[in-house]
Amino acid sequence: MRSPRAPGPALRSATLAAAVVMTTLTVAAQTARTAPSTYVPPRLSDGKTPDFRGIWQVRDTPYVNIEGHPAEKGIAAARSIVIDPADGKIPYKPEALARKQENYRARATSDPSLKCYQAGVPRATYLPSPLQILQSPGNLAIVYQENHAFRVFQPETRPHFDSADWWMGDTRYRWDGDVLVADVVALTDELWLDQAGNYHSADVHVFERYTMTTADTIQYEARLEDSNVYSRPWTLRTFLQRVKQAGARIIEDECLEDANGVRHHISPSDPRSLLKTDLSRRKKP
Amino acid sequence: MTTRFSSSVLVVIIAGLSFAMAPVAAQTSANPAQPAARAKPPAASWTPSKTPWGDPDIEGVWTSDSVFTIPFERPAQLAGRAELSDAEYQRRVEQDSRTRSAAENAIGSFRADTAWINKSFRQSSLIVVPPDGKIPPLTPQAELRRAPRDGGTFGDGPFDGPEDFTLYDRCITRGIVGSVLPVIYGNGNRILQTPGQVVITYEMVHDTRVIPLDGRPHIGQRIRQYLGDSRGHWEGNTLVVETTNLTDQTSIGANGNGLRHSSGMKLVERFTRTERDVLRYEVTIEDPQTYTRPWKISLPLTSPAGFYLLPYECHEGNHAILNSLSAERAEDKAIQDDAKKGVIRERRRVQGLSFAQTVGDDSVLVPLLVGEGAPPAEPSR
Repeated sequence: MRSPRAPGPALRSATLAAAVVMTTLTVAAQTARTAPSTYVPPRLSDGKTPDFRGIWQVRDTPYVNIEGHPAEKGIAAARSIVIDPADGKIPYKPEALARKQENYRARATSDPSLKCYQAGVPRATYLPSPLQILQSPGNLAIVYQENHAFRVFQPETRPHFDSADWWMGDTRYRWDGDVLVADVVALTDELWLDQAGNYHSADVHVFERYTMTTADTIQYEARLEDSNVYSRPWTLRTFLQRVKQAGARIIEDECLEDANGVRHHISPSDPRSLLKTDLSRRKKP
Repeated sequence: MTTRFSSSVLVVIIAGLSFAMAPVAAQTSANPAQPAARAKPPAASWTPSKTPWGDPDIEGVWTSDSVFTIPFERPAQLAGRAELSDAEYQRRVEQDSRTRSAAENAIGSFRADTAWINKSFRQSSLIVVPPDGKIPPLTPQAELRRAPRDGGTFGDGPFDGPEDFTLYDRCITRGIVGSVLPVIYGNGNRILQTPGQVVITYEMVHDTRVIPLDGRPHIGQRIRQYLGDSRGHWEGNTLVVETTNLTDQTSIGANGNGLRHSSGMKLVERFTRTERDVLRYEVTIEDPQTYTRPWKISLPLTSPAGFYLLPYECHEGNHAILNSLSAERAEDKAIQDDAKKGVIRERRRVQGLSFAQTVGDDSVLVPLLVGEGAPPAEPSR
């Protein structure tokens, strides 16, 4: 089902060394461009841990295309959320760009989200549905409304899993002052980053930074390193807004049970050859 | 491959990468069972610590792996007794030990989570009310609700479309009770506490319940969810959670398979930490449209050292439905081809494969069946 991971151990080390150099450069560039937040978040009951709890949602539309997109029916136009490189374009290698363009052309049928699959990281953050950050001292998890996905953030002292590929990846985190810093590996190469076919390989390494910039805003940054697909690491930035409606809650969401979802159960093969009776008839009492 | 290939097994094969992790973790735990563990430790002997805001602390990672060898319904030879005798208990300790080592020493990518059995208990059945340890008689209207779909891939089919499978087969949900009852793997419950809320996450099919403790009323009756609408409060050191607003699409049984209950069902769960690493879980099922009286399941969740929840991607790797449907269509064609040759025959029936047979290792379950009578109510354990 999956293609083997590209680099062997030796090549991986070389890649890693290169990545470290590039990381340093990227961080330097980032620091120059980003003013540190002066907002001081509240604390959990231990009096120490920053309190990011709540229901949050990105209110603009990077889920359509993180590189920006024109207006469509029901969807406002949006600018790219790629902040590095400065041109707002994902720095694809030429052959990877070709695949991205192929994904784009086939997006009406090929987007894995159409099959009700979990969205992966960072895509789950900027879906058009809320997420909830859950915390107690020493524990942190995020529950996403879409497909009831969740991520348990493990402390950085626990080593990453190797040789797994998961739809929501394997997350390690620490606090950098009041900034929640996470790194994510072990993501599958079947994920897309948005509805436009932007993608990564199974070797992607995602570095996330969650910064509370006001009581009701979290700045979310994700840097993606993946030398199989990109010519250099790149960074996106968007903002999670606190959902403040009274009684706000994560609502049960089962993509699989809707009329189309029934068909998604049996993707990727042609469902018509497998379904004996048609759905409309079976719905009659 | 047969039509009735267990979805569990398929998921294992598909999610092989995830499960390749389990043995590694299991080896590092390797806790010998603690034969001294009692079925009901006196609650007064151990007092849970408090969270910084003053609630009893039940936070942590819990699993029902340790009660895998306790039958769901009470076997005939234990009739009238809620607990095992000393001799029977000794046999269970040995059986748990065998089950655990079979899992620890299994070869290949599949290893049941019974490697995490770390305590043995004296309970004779998971059902504790009514006192006979049996599911109460069903109402006549509930009997009418029975459908081939109730057994899912363990049932007789026929499988003509996704609705002929259980919600578990379909990777939608196992429901509340089905998410806690022990099965071959994925039995983790992660509890996180925060002022005013308790959050419970189940490993298999990755469901999460966010349970408010602030006394707010239930949501409107028209809103129905598979996991219902839960409200919690503390009674002493016990968290009591009441759930309504359920659907009539889930079932009370291992993995949420079995006869579907009504949407009028009400669940009352009670969580009591009775030892540092034991959380007693009780659930009372009230559904007069389905069961002629309320009944109660009680089981100890344990927290073995090193245990935690892994990602569980059910739908993303769900080839069971695909394969079951394609096998059924192959059988359609075979029947037609036979008819052309003048052979008129019935559809092939399920071969009665037990779970143990489908995984090719019955060492796990045979002692259970031989030693303690009938298998649990649901064959998928």
